[in-house]
Amino acid sequence: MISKKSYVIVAIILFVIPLSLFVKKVQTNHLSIDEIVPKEVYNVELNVDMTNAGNLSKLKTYLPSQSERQKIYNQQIHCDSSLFSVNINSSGNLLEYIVNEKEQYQKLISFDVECKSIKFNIPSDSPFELDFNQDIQKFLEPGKYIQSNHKDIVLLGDSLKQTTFFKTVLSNFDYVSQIPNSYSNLLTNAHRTYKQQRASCNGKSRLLTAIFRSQGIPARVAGGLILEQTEKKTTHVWTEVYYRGNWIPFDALNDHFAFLPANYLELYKGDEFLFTYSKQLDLDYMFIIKKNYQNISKAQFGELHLWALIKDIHIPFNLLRTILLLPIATLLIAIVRNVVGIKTFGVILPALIGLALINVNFYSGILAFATAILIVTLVHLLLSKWSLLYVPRTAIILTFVIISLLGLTLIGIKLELEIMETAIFLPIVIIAITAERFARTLVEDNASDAFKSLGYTFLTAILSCCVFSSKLLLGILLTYPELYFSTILILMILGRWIGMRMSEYRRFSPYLSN
Amino acid sequence: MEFIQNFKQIGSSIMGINERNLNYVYKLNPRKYFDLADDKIKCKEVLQENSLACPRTYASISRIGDIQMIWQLVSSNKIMAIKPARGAGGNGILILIKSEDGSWRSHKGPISESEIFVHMSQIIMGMFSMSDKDKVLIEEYVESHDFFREIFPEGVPDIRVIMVSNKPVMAMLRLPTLKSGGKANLHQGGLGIGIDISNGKLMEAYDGEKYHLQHPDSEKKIAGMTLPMWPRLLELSRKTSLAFPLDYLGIDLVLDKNKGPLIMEINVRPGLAIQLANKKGLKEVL
Repeated sequence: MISKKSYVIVAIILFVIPLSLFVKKVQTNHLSIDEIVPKEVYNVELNVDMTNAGNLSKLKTYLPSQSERQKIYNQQIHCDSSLFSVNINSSGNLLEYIVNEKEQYQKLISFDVECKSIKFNIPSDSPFELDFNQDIQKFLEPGKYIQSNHKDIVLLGDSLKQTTFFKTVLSNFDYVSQIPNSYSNLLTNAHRTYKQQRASCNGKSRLLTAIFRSQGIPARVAGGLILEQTEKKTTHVWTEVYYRGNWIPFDALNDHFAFLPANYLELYKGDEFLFTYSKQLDLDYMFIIKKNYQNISKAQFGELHLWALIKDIHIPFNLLRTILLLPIATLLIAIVRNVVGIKTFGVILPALIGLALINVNFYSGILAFATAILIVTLVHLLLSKWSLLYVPRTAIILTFVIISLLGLTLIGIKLELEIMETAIFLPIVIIAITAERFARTLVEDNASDAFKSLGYTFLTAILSCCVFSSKLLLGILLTYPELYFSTILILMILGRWIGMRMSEYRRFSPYLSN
Repeated sequence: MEFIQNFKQIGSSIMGINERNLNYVYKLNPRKYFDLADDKIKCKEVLQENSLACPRTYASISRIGDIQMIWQLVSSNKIMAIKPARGAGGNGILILIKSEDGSWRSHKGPISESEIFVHMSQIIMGMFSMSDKDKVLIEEYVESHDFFREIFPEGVPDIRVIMVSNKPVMAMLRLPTLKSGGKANLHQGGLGIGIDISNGKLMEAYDGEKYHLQHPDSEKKIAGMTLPMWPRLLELSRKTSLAFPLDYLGIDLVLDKNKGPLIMEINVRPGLAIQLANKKGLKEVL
């Protein structure tokens, strides 16, 4: 048979090519999982706009420093190297820049950063630490804006102090957290924050630091940027507490307890200012932050890979995972249907539902989906009773999908139920198709078949949702795109596999009563 | 251990969907001829050309605009069946019976002419055939042979014969039940009864879960009865399979009260439940 010969040839090619590419890559470039998984990467640009009345005015600011939790790449200072110097001190990497023109508008600094979140567990019975070395002891002293020796603060510290370190931390944190937020960017010191009972991040972090110091616990302020896809001037500060060799972060404004989220970029330590400059200088600035997904540690590969999709054409992350992982999701569906023998509505529909689910909160997405489908099915059944013509009927159903999603969302907003608020983000056409298939099976076959297929469709959708949300899989395919040939090979084998489907063993088990 | 034994036994005798599709449907039935089976009107053309007995066609309608005109021509009949040419599983079939006052009744109750027209347009728009276009087939209503009416008076039972390379390999009788509402499909609640090909003897009736010796509703005996006109049914199946360029076929026949065996339709992807009705795997007979 001619068709079989070509099958064997293509199968061999599909086996050999990806295998040899894969082996070659693994040999030349040994990558760990961490180096393959795409991560949230932010590109940060600092633009400054300066008017200079004097000569050789100075601008000082901090450059991010490399640490276990933040990796900085492609850092560039966009000016002549004779105009700046970088000094590394205990606060951070201080950049000193000489402004030599009257007016200057420019991009000053740019870098890429990949941050990890960090979390500390403090055992609830952990005792106070009493002896500190000299380097740490200075973090017990009052500062200009951190008046830990003021009698009000000392009294407050005494009243908040508990029997163990952990309980004290908790009580201090709770006290500062409950102070109402303000969003002014005026400098607020620790004592004023206590008196006004209202503050932004700088006031709250200073007050929390002052309370700790008054209790004999070393603490300091740390400052930086909250990374998000935006342009902003707002910087952020939080508190760090020293315990057993670690500086443990606390953000009383955003309620992060012994935890620093992955999008907190640290620029300096201590009660410093991000920008200091000569009196003759008038400064305006803007951070331009772009979010992207990539893995900068291995962004330069020699061989065939797809990382350029992110690096060079900045493809949106959702589109990227849809394109790259759809073949894997359909492979999964092929296995589920032809090997397991589960009946789903359509071949591609479960994958589409799975795709819809990754964009909303998973559980509320499932619930909203199921509710919408049940409502639309009821409408469907009513319409089929009236035997309306097909096209107007389909149009009514589509309109009703929208009405029910809007309704669910409105009720959700009213009752403050996130589950229902999500509804409007679900794909209308996919719900309409699923409901139509469900209603059709309900009417033409029977209820138990219809519910079974609906259940299996969702089960498969959840499986493909797992595929779509797997960053590891995405990273593997970005790095080793030759694996697509292997999936085709698997499908070719599946396409000629004549074994019984697993469900058929069950279906034909009455045969054994023979 | 017994569990594995059972798995092995099922795997070695029963034919699954994957194997049926690959080794029988795709291998023995050229895709370009699928239409001769999927479209009942085309199928009947072949049957008529070869003088194979089938229910008389009163008319076929392929355009919505023709419905009223053709209805004028066929409405003199007292009873008829309206079907989608590409329907599956008995969906979209309407049996029309004229009352003495000239009004129409369907198997579901009284029906007006305009409701009949809507149903026909729905057929043409493909509502029952998973496609965007279909045709209406209006044909003679088959009245079941008394043998079946005695077992269960409702609906039209049919006989499925699997033909591989023009040889009958397995057969079953499908009987409606109260649950199946006139339809004889197994997954709609009908009964599947294996037929001994050599002599037309009926086996136990399988309802999708268990086996019965009698009809579960009427309690009339089934197992051990012999189908009337079995040799003629087999002969008609053989001739039919010769008339089509398809080598793996499920042929559906009915036994009309007056005309005897008639071909209802043929199927290029016959279902596999017939193995359960016969308590025998297709792999054992092929």
